[in-house]
Amino acid sequence: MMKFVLVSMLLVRFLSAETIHKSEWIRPHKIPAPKDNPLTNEKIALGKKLFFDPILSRADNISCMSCHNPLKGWSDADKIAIGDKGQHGTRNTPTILNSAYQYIYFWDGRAGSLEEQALGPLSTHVEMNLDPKEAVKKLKNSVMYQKMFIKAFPKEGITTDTLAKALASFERTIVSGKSRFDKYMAGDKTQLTPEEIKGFSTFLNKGNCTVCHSGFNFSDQSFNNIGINNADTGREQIKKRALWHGAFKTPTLRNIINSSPYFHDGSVEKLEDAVSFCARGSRDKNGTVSHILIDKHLSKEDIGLIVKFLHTLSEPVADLSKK
Amino acid sequence: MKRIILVILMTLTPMMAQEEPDNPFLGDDNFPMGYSLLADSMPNFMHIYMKGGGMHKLDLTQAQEEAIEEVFATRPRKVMKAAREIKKLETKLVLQVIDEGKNAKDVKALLDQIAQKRKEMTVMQIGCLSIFKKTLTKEQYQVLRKMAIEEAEDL
Repeated sequence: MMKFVLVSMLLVRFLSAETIHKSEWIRPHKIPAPKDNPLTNEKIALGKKLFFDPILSRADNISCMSCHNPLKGWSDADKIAIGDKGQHGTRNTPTILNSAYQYIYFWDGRAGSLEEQALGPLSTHVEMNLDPKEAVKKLKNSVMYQKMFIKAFPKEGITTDTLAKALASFERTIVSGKSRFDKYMAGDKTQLTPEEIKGFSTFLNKGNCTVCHSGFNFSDQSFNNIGINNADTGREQIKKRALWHGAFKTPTLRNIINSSPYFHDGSVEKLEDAVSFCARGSRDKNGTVSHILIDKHLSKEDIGLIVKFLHTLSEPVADLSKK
Repeated sequence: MKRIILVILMTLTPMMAQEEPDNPFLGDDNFPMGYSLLADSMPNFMHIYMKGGGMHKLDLTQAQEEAIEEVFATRPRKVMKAAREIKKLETKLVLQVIDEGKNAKDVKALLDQIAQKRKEMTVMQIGCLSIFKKTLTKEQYQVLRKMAIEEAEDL
């Protein structure tokens, strides 16, 4: 028992000393929003209604929630997203948690704002398969939506622009802050076990996982080719340069235990295997893998500790009744 | 023939891995930038460009993006190679001093070699900084400079 207390004290001291810059790991309180779409309660309420409503799909059977399910960490449990008529897309569904704090969206970064992102899945034929203009027509037939849009956008009413703005406004409210890790960072040292703290230390130091998974959202918002070999060339499809070949946006690690399978192609099911894959570093023979990824020579124990730490990043299921 | 090469490779791989001892005194390894001559006092513009939305905040033209990213497609490989070499040399030096009791005179050649390599790393780093100065407008450069200062203040 004495040994346990001593180890805990040492670990807490180690992590509270110069190795951790606390502010880096705490989400800024203020939720950012663009100047032309400031957050209002009316827009958030409208966005929430739209987000859960299958009216935005061609067959009235898929909503944004179908892939971004709050019970599944605002993602889904499918390898590849399933859309209109049961069709499969090509990539795994990323979570929308903390999307307010991002600069670029989708695995390949093809959208430069949340408003632009919000309409993407509507028009994609393997997702909701509904042109936003057709969505506007459908919404105009609803008295309820007519009222809600007028309340949220008194001068504009229902347009593709206001539809995007409303969805983006709701998405901006989906933020982190209630995980055990957040409570620990806020000062409650009882939230993490000594093993989880050791896991965080391994994550930071030996694993050097922060080379990509940095900051409160555990993502550097950059693009890396981590060596998954498939035909999807990722960011190179958007920016036609060799640097981006096979590169995909670094996903957040928040709610990671709820969002299996992992990586842009959903090719890895177990979290242990995903951590192990990244820790092994560069493995691509044609030299396109990001050079920052090097073999960390992590032991099975190290991997286990990191996984234990990652469990602490889970948020409780969102209480949507309060929004 | 292929099988023979495969067997040789399989035999050699663990041996090659064993050839590089770890430095047991190395804690938080700031790899690769920690192996530059000016490891902490010079900003890393490429890092700022690549991470945390830096490239978006700069609002670059396509030509500017291409000029910067062309460098990034080749430079990191060279930096990583140099950092690996320095790390290996430094581990060797540390173990010679700590475990074998060698003095400063004994390790002078090794020390000079490390200093030279660290200088090479820094020359690459300066080259990288120059690309930004050359490519960005004055206003964009000031934005980048400000981001670098903010990052330094956070640390």
